Amino acid sequence: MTKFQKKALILSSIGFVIGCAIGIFIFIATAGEDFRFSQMSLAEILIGGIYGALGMGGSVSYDVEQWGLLRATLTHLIPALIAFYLMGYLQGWLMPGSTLFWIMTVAWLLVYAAIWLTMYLGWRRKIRKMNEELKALKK
Amino acid sequence: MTDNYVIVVDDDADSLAGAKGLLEGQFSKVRAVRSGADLLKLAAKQDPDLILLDIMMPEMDGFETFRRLRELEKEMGRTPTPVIFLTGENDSVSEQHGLTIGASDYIRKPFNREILLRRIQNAIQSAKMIENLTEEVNVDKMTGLLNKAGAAGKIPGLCAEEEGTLAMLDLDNFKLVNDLYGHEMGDGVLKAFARILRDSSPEGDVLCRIGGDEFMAFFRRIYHKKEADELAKTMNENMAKACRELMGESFDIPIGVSLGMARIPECGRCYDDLFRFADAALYQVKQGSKHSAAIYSPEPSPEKEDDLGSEMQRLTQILKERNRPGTAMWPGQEGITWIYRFLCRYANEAVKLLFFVKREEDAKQEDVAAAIRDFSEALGSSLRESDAILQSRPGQFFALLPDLTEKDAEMIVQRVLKNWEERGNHPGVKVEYLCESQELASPGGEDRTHIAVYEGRKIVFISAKDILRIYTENRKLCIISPSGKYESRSTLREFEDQLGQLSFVRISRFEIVNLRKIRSFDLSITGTIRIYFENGEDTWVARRYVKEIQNRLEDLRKGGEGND
Repeated sequence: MTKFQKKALILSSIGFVIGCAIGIFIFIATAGEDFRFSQMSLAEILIGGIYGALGMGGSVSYDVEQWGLLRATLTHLIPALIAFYLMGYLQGWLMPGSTLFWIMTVAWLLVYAAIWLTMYLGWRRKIRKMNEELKALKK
Repeated sequence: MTDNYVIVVDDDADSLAGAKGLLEGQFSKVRAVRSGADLLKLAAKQDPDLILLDIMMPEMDGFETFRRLRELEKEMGRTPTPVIFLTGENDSVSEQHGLTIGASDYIRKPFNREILLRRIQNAIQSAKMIENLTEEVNVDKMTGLLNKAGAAGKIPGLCAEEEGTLAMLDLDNFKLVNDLYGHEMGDGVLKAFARILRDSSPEGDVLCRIGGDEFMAFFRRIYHKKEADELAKTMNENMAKACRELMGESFDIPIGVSLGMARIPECGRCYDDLFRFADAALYQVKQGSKHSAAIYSPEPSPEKEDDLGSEMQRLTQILKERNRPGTAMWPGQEGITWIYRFLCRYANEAVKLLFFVKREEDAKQEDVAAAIRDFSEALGSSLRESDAILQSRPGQFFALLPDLTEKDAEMIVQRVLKNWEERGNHPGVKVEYLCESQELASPGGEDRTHIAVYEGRKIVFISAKDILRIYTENRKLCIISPSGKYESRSTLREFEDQLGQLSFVRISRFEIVNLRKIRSFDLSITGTIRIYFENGEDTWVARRYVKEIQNRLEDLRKGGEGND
């Protein structure tokens, strides 16, 4: 197993645990007095875990040396978004083609565009500084 | 009628007369003899093209005559004469024996005239063909002397039986002729020397070229030091004369010949030992004054070994030898490589000049050749003795001028061109040149670092300062420097360690770059960081190494400010 794969596995495991924990927290917070732990409840917690695993494990896309920021961000977005759709659909509150579906899709895209832009601007600033250093070195 | 000499041997007068009558008119010379003993006497004086030998003869039969004839030929160093046995007997055992011992053919009497003539002609033709092929294999085509294989076939026998001297001969400074005048002239010099060697040796001596400018000889009449010295003197005088004729009166390469000799039988009779002894004597001459002869002596000269002063003088003389006084060095390809490496480590600056004597469309070949020769002389005499020149191709000259700047070099180029123009009119020929300064070592340690790379079987030293980038491709390590791409089987880590504290930094798992060779950094719209080098190349950078690059840039800048 390569270092890269190991890192993805470790992060996915952590993400899964966090996802499950958040799922349990939401379940407890939203449960009424007459709550019952059903198979559906278990499925929701597991989907939360999978979502967490994909979100955190997918962050290794930023570690792939050859990939630019755009490719890394898209690689992170796609599985995370699919997991989100899946979770909403299985829980019954996100139907494909519904208004909420499109609102959430646009919201996800905007969030990832913002992530990409922030990172891009940050790196651009670093590159500018490096060019200045280079110029100073050559004088 | 063919131009061949045939001897017929038969004790029967009628048969002899019949055979002679048959052959006369078909061959230019036919002799008839009555016995084997008569044949041997005749063969000692003459060299026939074929012998027709009767088997049944009194006193000495045909087989015995044949055996003695071969012995005689061997003694005389002569090629075996083809022999056809003649017999009246219908005996296949005798025929088999005759052919087994080496007869060319076997003919029974009475013979058919046409068949006899055809068989004789076939035997003569086969023998001549073998002789020609043997000669072709054993003779050095350029000089006409024996080659090493030919010598190995003749000389060991002479060493074992004769008295005389086995000599190794080597031309002094011959390489300079090739370097300065080209290989064609070099071949001319070798041919001239072969002629001189032939003229200096009486008939019976065996002469051969064993390769390059090395020759070997078996001298029958040279035994004492005085005779060897005289021979060396004559050869050197004739050699100088021949070279002046070939290369003109201005020729001043100290070319000559050195001889190392081993006396036979004083030094033994074993060819291998004698070869070694003669070679040792030659080495002694080459290490000393050259242009002379030495006879092998097993005892070393004690006074020479102990005298460090004269040893130093001798070594200095050897170092000076290759220089033409008053002109720049012509050290050859290998020599100039060493000079360049030395300069890279210890000189502050140098200039590289490349001249190209260019032929225009209407120029005559002889004018171009004269222009190149004049330019070679002009270049040599216009530069300093400390400058090094290499003629890399016909008409192309590379010069390495230490401790000069490009500005100085311009002045020198003009001096060279003026000198060349003063040497004569060169219609249809022009000289183009390129001048480049070579930044070499600086007082700091950084620029003196060289990277050793295995390229094929060679080790190539590349100035670390020159290296642009080092990266891995198809499991091979590639080093890009201004002089080209080098490939190695080493690891990137090894080079990272070698480069130590220099301006190199890792930019990805697969690549290390020289920060001083970078023109700029850039971030593409897809968010990939790219590096653009001064030579136009570019590559990507892994984001995780950016921090390291930033730190190294800062360190280098601060280091530079500190030095200022």
